[in-house]
Amino acid sequence: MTRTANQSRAALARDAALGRLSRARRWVIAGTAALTAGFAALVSVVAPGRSLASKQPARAVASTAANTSTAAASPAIPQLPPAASPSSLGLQGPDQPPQSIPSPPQESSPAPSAPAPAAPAAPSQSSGGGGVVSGGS
Amino acid sequence: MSHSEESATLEAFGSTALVAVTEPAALDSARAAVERVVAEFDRACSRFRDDSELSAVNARPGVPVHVGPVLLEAVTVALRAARLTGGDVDPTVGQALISLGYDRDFDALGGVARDEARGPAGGLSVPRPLASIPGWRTVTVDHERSTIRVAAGVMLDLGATAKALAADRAAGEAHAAAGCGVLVSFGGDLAIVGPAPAAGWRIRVTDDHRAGFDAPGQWISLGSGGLATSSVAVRRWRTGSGLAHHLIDPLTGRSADSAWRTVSVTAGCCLDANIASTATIVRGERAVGWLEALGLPSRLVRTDGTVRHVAGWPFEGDDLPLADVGFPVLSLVRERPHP
Repeated sequence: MTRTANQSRAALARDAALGRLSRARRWVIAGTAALTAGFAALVSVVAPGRSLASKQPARAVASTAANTSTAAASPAIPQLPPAASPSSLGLQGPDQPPQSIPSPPQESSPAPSAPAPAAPAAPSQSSGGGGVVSGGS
Repeated sequence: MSHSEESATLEAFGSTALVAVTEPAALDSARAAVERVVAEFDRACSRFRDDSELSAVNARPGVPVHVGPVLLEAVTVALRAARLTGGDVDPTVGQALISLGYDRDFDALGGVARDEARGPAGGLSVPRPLASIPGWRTVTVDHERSTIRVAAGVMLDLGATAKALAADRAAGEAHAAAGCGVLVSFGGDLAIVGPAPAAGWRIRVTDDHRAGFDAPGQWISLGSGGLATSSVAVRRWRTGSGLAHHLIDPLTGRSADSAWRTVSVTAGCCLDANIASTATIVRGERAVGWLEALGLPSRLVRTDGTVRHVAGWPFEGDDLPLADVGFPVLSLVRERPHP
């Protein structure tokens, strides 16, 4: 009987200890997250625009931009680099996709005649024609 | 083209060139402008001319060589092509081409007959690699000093992009000279500037730009921009270890062992179309998603002769059977024309 009561008290004590551990862990996690957020907010206010990779402080960047642009009236507004041209961004698609032509051309004129490979360049002229051939070359 | 358009052909860059205008009276001035551009690019960018600027750059590795604006731009766009394709279109494949035997003008090389080259599986026996590709980052362009420097062992070849750039420039110059709509085609890489005919420019897309209109392919019409076709069925030659073609995979230094026999792409200009078509040959199957993501309408012919149409390229009227793209529902979705 006494032995059973002792076991019961030990189990209760163990459960209480585990509960305290669990609560403590939750507080540690919540506290860590809050501290991290607070520290990040503090740094963003104290040193805006800086990063570990940056060699130059944000103020110097703004100053350089102000020297090179007359539009930089306010040093607080950082200047962006010039916009990239469309051709430098990537391959540009066509304005419109090609359209299929359901039937062959009515004109029966052959493809623009190709001079023999070994022949010297001899410009030729054709009237109209049925179209253009696009193929490997 | 209807009877209101006029065209002329000439030889340029080892292929047949065509100039077409919407005003017949303007053909002579347009053709003259095109010939000027061809001469400029040949003098600047030819790998087969000892007196070209490109030969001067290749002959002096490690030294910044002063060049003119044409070669400066041609190398700049070649490096842009390499950057945009992750190096799949690389201008430093010159030594690999020479090692494969492509060391002179193709007409002097003795290519493989067209019918033989277009066999069921392309007939390609890829030769072993003979030269490693140095990589496009070994090329330095100084725009302020107008100089180009290549590293030791680097041999530039601008064949993939210079011809397309020339087509864009020639079409622009011809349009300015003629004052009407112009189409310029260099070996099937074509650029359109100015107003097109009412029904668009009629184009037969096929394996070989020298083939006639009756060659297996597809008729399309195009109103603006550019169209380029790259094919491993042409410009092929025999080597000691098999057949080779001119489209080099920079990863291996060999002729690309592609899933595609012929790739045609339309884009905002001929240059971008050429970059995409060349990269697609090198990339093989994985290029399909890339083309769709970029929104570049394309026609891809497999080595077995079946065809895929992606990103809005029309599928009607194609002579070739549609390729099996796997699951039937996916096939319907992929092959459905865009609205």
